[in-house]
Amino acid sequence: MFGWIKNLKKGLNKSSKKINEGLTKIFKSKKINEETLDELQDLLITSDIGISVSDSIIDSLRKKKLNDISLESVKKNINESLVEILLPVQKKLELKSTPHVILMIGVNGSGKTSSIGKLASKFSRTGKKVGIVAADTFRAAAIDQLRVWAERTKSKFYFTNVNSDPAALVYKSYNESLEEKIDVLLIDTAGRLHNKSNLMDELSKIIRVMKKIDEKLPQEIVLVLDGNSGQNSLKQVEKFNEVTSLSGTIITKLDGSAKGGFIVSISKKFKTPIFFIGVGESEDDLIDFNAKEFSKALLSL
Amino acid sequence: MFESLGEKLSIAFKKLKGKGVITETTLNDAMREIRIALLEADVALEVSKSFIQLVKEKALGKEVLKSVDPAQMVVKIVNDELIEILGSENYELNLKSKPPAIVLLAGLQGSGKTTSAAKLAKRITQTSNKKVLMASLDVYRPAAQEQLEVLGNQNQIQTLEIIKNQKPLEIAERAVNYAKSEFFDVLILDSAGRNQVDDKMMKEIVTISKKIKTTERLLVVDSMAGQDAVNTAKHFNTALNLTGILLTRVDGDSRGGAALSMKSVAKCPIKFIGVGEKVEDLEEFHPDRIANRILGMGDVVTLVEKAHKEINEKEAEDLQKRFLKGKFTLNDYSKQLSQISKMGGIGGLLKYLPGLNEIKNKIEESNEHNEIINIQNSIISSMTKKERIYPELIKASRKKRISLGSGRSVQEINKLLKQFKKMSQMVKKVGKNKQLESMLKSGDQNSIQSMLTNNKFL
Repeated sequence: MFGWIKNLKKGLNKSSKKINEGLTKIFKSKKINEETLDELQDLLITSDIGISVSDSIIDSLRKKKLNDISLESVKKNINESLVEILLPVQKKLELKSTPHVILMIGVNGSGKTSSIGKLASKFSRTGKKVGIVAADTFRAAAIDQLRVWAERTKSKFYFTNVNSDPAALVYKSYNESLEEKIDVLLIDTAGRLHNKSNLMDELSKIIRVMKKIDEKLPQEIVLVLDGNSGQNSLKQVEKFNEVTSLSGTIITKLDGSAKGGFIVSISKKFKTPIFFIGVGESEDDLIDFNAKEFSKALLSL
Repeated sequence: MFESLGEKLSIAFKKLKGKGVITETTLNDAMREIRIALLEADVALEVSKSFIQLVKEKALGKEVLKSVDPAQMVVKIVNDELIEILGSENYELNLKSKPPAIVLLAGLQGSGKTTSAAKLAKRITQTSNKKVLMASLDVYRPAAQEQLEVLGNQNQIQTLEIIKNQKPLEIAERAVNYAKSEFFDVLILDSAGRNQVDDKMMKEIVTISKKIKTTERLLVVDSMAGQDAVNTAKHFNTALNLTGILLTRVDGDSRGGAALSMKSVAKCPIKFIGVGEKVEDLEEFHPDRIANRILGMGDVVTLVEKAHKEINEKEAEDLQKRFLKGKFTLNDYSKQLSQISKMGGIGGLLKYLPGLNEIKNKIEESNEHNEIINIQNSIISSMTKKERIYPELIKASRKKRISLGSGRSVQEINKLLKQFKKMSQMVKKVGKNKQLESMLKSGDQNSIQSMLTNNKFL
């Protein structure tokens, strides 16, 4: 099989094992009754899927009046529901303009900078000319961190002094990248909590400045979400969507035992595309999101 | 997005009206709601379950006092238990050892270790006369060591010189030796982010903590963490025998249920919380605040605080009084339209008030754009004083005059009047909302005054 599927499965293995064990325990010995369904819902909940989605999954199970309550059959049912929700958000990030500008945003520590490094490596390996803009001028050594990635991936590096205006840097870098015929321009931004209006205003300003050059800019606004998050991730999508118009998300850190089940809730509620998921620390560990594989891996099917 | 627990319990307890004692049957529905509230707050499932059992035992057979409703009683029990588990004392760092006292920070990637290291160092130098050294053991993330160095330079805290290609253990040992020879009182070690399932990385940190005599081993945890926080706490505690937890990004709007999970599993105190991006933004842990967040009771406080920030204290109080009294004229409406738009529009305002979700949606339907606020303000300013107090006076000829004065169509004026009528009815409902009123007035919940002054992070 493809290497990345293995990778994904490896990453999700621990979690699916746990769900698996739980399911076996439930369905070996009991008939499908309310108590059982409750327990099954609990299992979904431990994956951070959230109450409302797990409710609807359980409801659909209940309506189906399963004759076959074997583990495989019930899991296939859940899998069907998950895939139905996840398939519409499985989108490829396609480069359509030169440069194709990708603005990376998110709360602090979600993994924006590392994801940019991995994206730069991905694009440069396919022969694209990559530019990286260090528009996180706030966090200590954020520029240095990104510089290392730019050197590793042989990307053109655009930066400015610490604490200077990120919007001005973005404006300048874009114009330069046009002249230099850059194919992909990756813009790193400072981490910001979505409930801080001043920081959200700063983000709007960066976008506004780009739109002054060209209404179509930036081509992508990508929200980076930490795979360890819980239900707050929904609020992040909601709030960032209010000030920007998200074109997609990247879900990071799915190589641990966190299940990233909130992806399902987000997909159901916001239909925001998922471009990539992060399943490890190395450069190749940012893989395309695949709904079927994700769901299968989650349920260990 | 979330309703408060109090609201849900009111529904669950409707059946209980007229009954004097909380029975098992009546309690079960309520427990279901509590369970959902905890899970929505990201409290780990296993922790939620044992917590509910505890609350159930405490609540069962309790006599319902005439003056309060059973929902409030149960909320109180839940709240008290949460505070009890979260820990009611404040804990400082234990730095009583032969110098240097060594503090090791560990946690997942991106949980906030490096920033927290600087915050801790700053706090120690400010509250005591101690000399603090910081060292980063993160040789994996690009520029991680430089990040700590920059933070040190910015805040006059010394950091260990960076020598490339050293292993984490070598750096740690060098840091200890340097701290000893230069007579530092405290050494803060910032470790690389690692996941608990990564055996190699976990072994690395275990080795470091075994070879070096640490006095504090703190787990740094993102308050936005989900269900898996409980596993993180378990594994790190097994590996390091943690002495405390440092909860970060409490200035976000997560419910922070991870705090309860961590505390229950690791059995060590939550010592500090990170409440902002500045190096000073580290506070002692207050269990009541996190309890409020988990239960969704902090919403009113958030509203009050937001009003406080955007308007001012006096006006915020006036606004609340108006809401409580249910009195509202076109004059008030106009005056507050602009203030309200500052606070995220009417919808943004009402979503903080318990029991008003439905109303919020209705208002959002009819008042979606801020532009409308401008239009409406121009119409109101073309009205006479009398018209603003008695809008029912405004008939056809007055409408024509207002329309000429404001440059707005009669239809728009009609729309405003209709909307205002709706609005004032809703405000009356808000005024009658007993739960809100009692929350704002009751003494044992935070009084309005302390809500205004005290709640930096809620």
